[in-house]
Amino acid sequence: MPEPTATAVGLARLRAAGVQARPAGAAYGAWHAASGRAGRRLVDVSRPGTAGRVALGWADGAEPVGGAHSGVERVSATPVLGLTFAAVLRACWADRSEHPFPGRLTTESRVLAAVASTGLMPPSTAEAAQGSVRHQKGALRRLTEAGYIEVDRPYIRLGTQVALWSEVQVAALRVIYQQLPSVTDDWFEPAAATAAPAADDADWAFELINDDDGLDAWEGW
Amino acid sequence: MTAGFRLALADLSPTRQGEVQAALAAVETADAPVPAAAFRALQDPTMRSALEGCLSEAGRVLLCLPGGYLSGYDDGVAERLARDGLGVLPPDDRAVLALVLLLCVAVPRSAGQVSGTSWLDAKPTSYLELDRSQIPNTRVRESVRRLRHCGLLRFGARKQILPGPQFARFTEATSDRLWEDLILLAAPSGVLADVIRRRRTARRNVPTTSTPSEPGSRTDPAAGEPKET
Amino acid sequence: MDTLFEVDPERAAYADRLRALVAPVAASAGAVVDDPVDLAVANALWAAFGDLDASGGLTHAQLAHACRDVCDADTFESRFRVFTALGMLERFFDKAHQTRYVFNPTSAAGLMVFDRLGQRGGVDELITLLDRTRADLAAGRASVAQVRVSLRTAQRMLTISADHLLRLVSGSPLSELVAQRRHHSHNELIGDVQRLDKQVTEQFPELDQVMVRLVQEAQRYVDAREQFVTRLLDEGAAVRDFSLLDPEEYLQTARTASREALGQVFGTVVVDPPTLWLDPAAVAQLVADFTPRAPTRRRPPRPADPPPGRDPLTRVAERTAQATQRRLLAAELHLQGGDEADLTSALRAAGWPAAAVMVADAVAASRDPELQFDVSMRDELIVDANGPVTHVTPVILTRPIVQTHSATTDDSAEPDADIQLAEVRADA
Repeated sequence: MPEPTATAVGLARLRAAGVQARPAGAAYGAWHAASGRAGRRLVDVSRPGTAGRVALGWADGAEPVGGAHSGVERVSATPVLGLTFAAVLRACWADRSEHPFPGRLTTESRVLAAVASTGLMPPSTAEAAQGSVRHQKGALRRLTEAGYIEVDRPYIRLGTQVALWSEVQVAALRVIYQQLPSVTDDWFEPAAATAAPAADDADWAFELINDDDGLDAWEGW
Repeated sequence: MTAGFRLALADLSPTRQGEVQAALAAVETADAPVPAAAFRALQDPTMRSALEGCLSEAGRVLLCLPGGYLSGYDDGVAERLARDGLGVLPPDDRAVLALVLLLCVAVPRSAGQVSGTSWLDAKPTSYLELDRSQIPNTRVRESVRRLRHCGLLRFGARKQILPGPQFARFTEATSDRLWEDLILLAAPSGVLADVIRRRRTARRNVPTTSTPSEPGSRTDPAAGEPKET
Repeated sequence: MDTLFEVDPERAAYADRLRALVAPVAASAGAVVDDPVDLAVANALWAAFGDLDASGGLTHAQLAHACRDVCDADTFESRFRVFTALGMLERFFDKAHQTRYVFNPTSAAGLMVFDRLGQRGGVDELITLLDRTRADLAAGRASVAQVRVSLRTAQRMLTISADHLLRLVSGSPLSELVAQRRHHSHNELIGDVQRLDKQVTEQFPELDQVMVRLVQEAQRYVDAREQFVTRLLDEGAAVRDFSLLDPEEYLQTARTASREALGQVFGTVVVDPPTLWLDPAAVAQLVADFTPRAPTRRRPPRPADPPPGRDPLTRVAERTAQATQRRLLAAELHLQGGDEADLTSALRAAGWPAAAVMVADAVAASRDPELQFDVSMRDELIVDANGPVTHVTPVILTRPIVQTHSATTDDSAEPDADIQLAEVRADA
């Protein structure tokens, strides 16, 4: 079997790891060119003030599609996951005229409150919210694994998947910006912004509830 | 290299490039095989060839499956990634996944309860069965959750556990290796295992003439059985 | 051959081996039984002689009794005639001149061979022969003539077995190779031959030529076996045939293998990280479905896209419909025909996580445009440290009065105190 090229390995690493350090010097140009030949787009996903990172995005107009007539089957995210992410998006997307990435930082408590305000979850008074908090932890972890958010306790920021969105895709969200879940005007950040520490071994019980909520389309196969 | 006889993306018209890129996005991200009918670039041989070229530039290959097309890692590229520890599951998850293959695929297929050749032709298992293994119960549950998120496991009816759709993205070579590994695991000291190991060693070494017999011995050590212990 | 058990391939194969085994001494081609039930009769008799107090022999009646569970009377009689004719059952007269029978130990040896044959096949005999020869040499009780015969016998066995394997490899279906895999699984064979070689060279150097021939045939057999196993592996892999091992072997492995051993299997396999489908269009859709309603106007959420028409997802659509149905029934149960139900006490009694599921179901029912329910939660918290659910917020389920025109503010539901009123969101 012929030896794989360095760029093929490099681009494959981008898929397996989600993101890689930006290669230096001539290697960057090689990756860039290879991405073009691969029908893809090398995207800078660095955060200001930190080391350069790249990810592999899609050619403009050729982003992955889903939905009824796309011909592609997708497992939908549950409403809890989707709304949690939407809440993060809103909280981090300060200026809707810009691309949301990298955006600003937000906190878990703010995200929790924003999701609660949709009425999807039981009320977020302190003790009653313990269940919700654990529920949220599960959602946050899942979103992190999939690259939609990055968690840096207690802060949350948008993840590299958001960086890959094209301007056209962003425009679709710009339209419903106001409807993205957010906190009320009278909400304030709790002084010691420490939510109850998640008992991780109980998380899976909430995962079960999570997964039954809405469509868990894996089960249909 | 093989780039010579394959059409490059840039050689196509802009329209056809778009078709190829649309199919590319689909096969790279779909949760199930993409039917050829859904994308022109999957039906047209020229465009499909260009699609394969695109995938190959990114260390990927096009897999043709009963339900349609999906992409997977090129075997050589995957070997390099694995050597660097990239994309390899953590130990607990690997163990649980192997366990699921034993219980859902190896046992029932060996017993004739399930027919088929794909990893997805499987009989469901349960936490109860998994708990009979040497892996602690809480670790089993955590691994099952992570593996479900990766799409390598899924829940069937009544929360029974089955191999998941991402198994469709394994190349033939990877699946062959998994099949052999399960034999090595279950019967490590038998003749099957000996031959598997010998063949793997032979494939790893650069093929040359076999080592000559030692003078005076009547058996050729290279072709015979493992040395006496 | 039109026999009873052609339907069962295992028994048919065993019968073939029995015939082949007996062929050297069979008087005619019809000499061997077609049905292993007949063999079972012999085993039953042997067991009777071995287990019962049979030192004085057994009578015909006792023998018939011993076989009552194995065959019918006619079969017993016909087998009995054959056994006595061939000397397996030997007759003598006791003091009361009654006919009694004893079991011939040679036949017992035969039964042991047949039993082993069923399991292991001919190469096993060869291994036994080699072991015995080595033991005799080590103990100094073998003569050169005896050893010569043993070596020759072993060599012939190997030649025939090698030829058999090569024929299987070149012409037989995979299933036949799989059926015989246990007969050729002795991975110590070459080692045994090498050890024997050393002993013979020391004690009987005049047997050098015979030994050389044996070693060559052993190598030839092992090479043939390599081809046999290679074909098993190649074709087995292609169809992912797991019958190369027994299900018990895989099951035992699942029970006993260590985490480390299990972890080897996927040790070099590369997989993709977890993904979620949250592209902007999907997010926009979700947000639209779950925009909190303004308290002054009740407007049902925009219905979700119908699931795609492809087969797997019609199952999903069915599940959704079933879930809707389930929630409808659950809600109706709570309401008991009325228009309002306080779920609080039911929640408190339900325990955890049933209470959470109940709330989730109620909320989902209220979100479903098909079901016209409402859920409201009071701005209280009931704390019951010893109860099955420690913290509960009162939850009211209501069925709103259906208006003929667009909904007004006067629905029977209590105001949604908990939905943040300040969060009125104008559409777009």
